[in-house]
Amino acid sequence: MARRSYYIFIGMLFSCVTLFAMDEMEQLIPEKLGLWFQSGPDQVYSSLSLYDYIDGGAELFISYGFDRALSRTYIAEDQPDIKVDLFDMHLPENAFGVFCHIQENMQFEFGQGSVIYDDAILFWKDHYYVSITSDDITPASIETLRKMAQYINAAIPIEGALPEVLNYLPEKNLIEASIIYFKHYIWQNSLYYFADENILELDPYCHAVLAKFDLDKQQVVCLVVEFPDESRARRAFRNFNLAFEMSPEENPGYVPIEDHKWLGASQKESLFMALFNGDDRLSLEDLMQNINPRK
Amino acid sequence: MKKNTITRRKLIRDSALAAAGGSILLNMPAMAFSGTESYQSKVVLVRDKKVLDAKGAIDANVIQDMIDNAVVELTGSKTIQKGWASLFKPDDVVGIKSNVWNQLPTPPELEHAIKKRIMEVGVPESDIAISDRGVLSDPVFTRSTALVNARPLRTHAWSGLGTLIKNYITFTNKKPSFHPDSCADLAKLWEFKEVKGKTRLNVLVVLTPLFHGVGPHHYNQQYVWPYYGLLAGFDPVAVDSVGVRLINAKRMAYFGEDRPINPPPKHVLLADTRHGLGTADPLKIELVKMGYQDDLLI
Repeated sequence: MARRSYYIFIGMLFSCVTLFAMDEMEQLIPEKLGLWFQSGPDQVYSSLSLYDYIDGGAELFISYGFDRALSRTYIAEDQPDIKVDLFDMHLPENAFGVFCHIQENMQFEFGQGSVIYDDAILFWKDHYYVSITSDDITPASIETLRKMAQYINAAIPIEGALPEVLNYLPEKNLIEASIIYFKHYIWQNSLYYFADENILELDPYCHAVLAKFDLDKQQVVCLVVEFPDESRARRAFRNFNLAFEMSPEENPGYVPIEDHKWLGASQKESLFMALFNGDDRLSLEDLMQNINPRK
Repeated sequence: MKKNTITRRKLIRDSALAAAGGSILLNMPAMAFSGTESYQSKVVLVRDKKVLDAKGAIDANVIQDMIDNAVVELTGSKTIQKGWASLFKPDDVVGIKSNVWNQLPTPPELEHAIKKRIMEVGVPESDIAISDRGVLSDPVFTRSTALVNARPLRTHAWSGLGTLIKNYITFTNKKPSFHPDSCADLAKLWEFKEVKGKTRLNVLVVLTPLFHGVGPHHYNQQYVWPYYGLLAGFDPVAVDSVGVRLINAKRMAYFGEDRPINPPPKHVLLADTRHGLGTADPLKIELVKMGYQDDLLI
């Protein structure tokens, strides 16, 4: 009986916390804006129900620590519906991580990075990833999408910190729009296929970043992983060496592979670093030496 | 680390993997690898620019011609009627497995074109059903003897691509059990009793494929393009493999650089190398191209 009461209490507490959090999210979006006003109740999604809402897209958010989402639809006479989806990603680094997957056309007009189409505005700020979309495109809908983005941007009071692992990337020759921050190994091949399995043993306690560097007619792909401790970084280095048949004694090590490109790997304290797609060893060595924390 | 990890080095070096893996995971042309063509599977690409009007509406007559031409070519039959009759018998019970993803569903015009020909073979309308998410409870699907698998080609946030192999996901109530490792083992679905050995025709709709996904709903009009085509075959892996090459080629053309499908659609490669469902190797696929030839990409 006592145990049952305990679970009822925990359930009520959890519901209260969730309701409070949802109330907080509701405050970030307007009930009406211009010609558009809210249609129907808000839809609320957890990591379990997100699959019902985003057919095929939920896993991306869940792989970045998705917490909850709120969806609101707006209607206006003779105008396309507008939908606002607000994703609480729990941590700013997670919101940034999801945003990385679309940032090739990134601007800074809204939040801490935005992508703008006529029928969609996507941006991230603090621990929120925001999607504003319209069913169709009219001059009024384009304008209202921007006003909605301005409203939500202003309503989210603070900016979130970028993942610290980004600080290891050298600024010189970095293609910023190529940056992919991640924790789940599924995204390890986002810029360059190197292995189908989780050979580095990445998990949610790791911080990984991929980026391209423009080096005189070649684009080198850089992977930096910050592990929770040095032993895990050493294991990742060992696994990588095994997979690519590199000498375990060489740190950093470099090897030409069968597509006539070079790859390199290094481990320093809790950091694992790999470089791919180099035309020669020298250019990789030069880049590897520059992977250090920015001052 | 597992011994069967497919690293980039292994992919390129292992002759058994090179052509299929290279084209699916590395976006390399099959001819980059040594090997001789010895066809196992035939895939027919039929294209007709008239299938879409200026607003993107589908012409039902044109799509009927396209699927008929594909069936005639695939079956080697002399007439449309004989082609369809070689696939279905009057006493078959047929499920047409479509896809209802609201941004890019299986076109109803195609569903009806297929249904019409199956009825002409002699299958009564009461023994034909078109369904996606209701296949497990649909009275026709549950007693089906034959299936047609028809869906549009699109990128997918977790499996890399929405493919013919993946289209049978609604034959399980345990979808999350297929999610690990970016849906690597989707080919297992084809072993289910509801499915195994029943698929008579696979049609990958490439009228307006989606080659890149953005946002939570993984869709933006900017990333679909009119390709005016249908890909058809008996081997779902072979058809999907051609689909992967098409999307890779479009991404290369659009972005101006090799932009890998993300995550890599490894379920297509593993359907071949791990599950033996069909062939993903371009050197073993005879691709027959019919109709409109501009901007083929593959």
